[in-house]
Amino acid sequence: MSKVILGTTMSLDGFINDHHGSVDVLYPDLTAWRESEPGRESIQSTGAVVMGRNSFAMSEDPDWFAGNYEYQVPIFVLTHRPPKKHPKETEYLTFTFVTDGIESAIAQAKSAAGNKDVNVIGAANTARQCLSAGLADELHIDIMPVLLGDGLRFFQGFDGQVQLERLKVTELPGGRTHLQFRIVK
Amino acid sequence: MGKVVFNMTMSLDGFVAGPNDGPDNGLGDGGDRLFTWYFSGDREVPISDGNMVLKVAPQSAAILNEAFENSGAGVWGRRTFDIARGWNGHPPITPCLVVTHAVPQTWVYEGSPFTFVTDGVESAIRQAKKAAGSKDVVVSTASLLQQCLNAGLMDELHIDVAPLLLGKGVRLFDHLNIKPTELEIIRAVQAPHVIHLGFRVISN
Repeated sequence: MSKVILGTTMSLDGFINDHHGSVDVLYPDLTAWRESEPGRESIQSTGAVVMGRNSFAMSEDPDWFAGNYEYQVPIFVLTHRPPKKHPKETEYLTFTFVTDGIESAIAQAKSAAGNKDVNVIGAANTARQCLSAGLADELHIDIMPVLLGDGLRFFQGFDGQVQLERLKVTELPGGRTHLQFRIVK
Repeated sequence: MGKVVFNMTMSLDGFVAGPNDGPDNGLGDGGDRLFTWYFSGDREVPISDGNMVLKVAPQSAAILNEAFENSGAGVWGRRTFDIARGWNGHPPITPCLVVTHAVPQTWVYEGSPFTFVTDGVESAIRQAKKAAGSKDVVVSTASLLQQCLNAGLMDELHIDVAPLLLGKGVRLFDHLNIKPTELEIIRAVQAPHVIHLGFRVISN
């Protein structure tokens, strides 16, 4: 059955970028990730993506996603103000800017994903809303072997207690540790 | 010579205790769930001179036993010492050094397992290294971990990750004043209710 997966890559001390806002040290080799077992599994099983506004801004060029982003699927971007120019789409990768909240975005994404999973990409605000509303079924965290000391924390702003159940631990190239958990509701 | 190793159990979102921790609420609200792994198997591992006997899974037992064999001295902060009430005189690791501003006189007696260090964490680490000989010095307090990282004194991080989000409480990686620091992963071992991660600190 289709799942909603909240995921991220973070440093051991919980940051998704450093205090300059740079994510370079967390993503040394995207090609290797795409070819790893968790990477391939994720790409194959994802039917739609829900993205926070900041994650959408990960590429300076909004037209980059079409044909390049690892998930060539319908993308639902959480935002208060959609961009003036609609980004490039393909037959598979489409953009919907959702202004009425995360519950709406996830409902639309589930519809678009069919039997496949919905991947929620984003930190802090997006993660907090997802966890607070109990919308995610699984939490997938990649820990990079680095301490950043400062920056934006993935779990920033979420102060609830949630029990998890460990599903899988995979060691990947570059010292990356992939952790998969079920969120116990 | 031995290494300076940090070891604590941490929630996935980085807390080693829940909120409102104190002597009557050692792990804070909800924090006891960090240690579900201590009693989720049938391999007995005695700690604190046998005052507590853990019952863990084989993978966890192997890691705990290896850690105890390699431990030559333990360093704790005064707050942890107080919350643990001095472990009733049976600290998890001996010799046991406690970093404090003022020495609690009731614990100063011949044969006391405690050495109170009043001139800071660097002095405590130095003394602990001497006491540990060729074995490792183990640090198990969040504030000391922070100070050691900031001073470049930490060699390895052994973090037991509990499948739990605590949301608030005692944050392990707080008050860090470091440049981005590379680590090398030594191990990632799964066991019931815990993931035993180990890292070597590469650059300071």
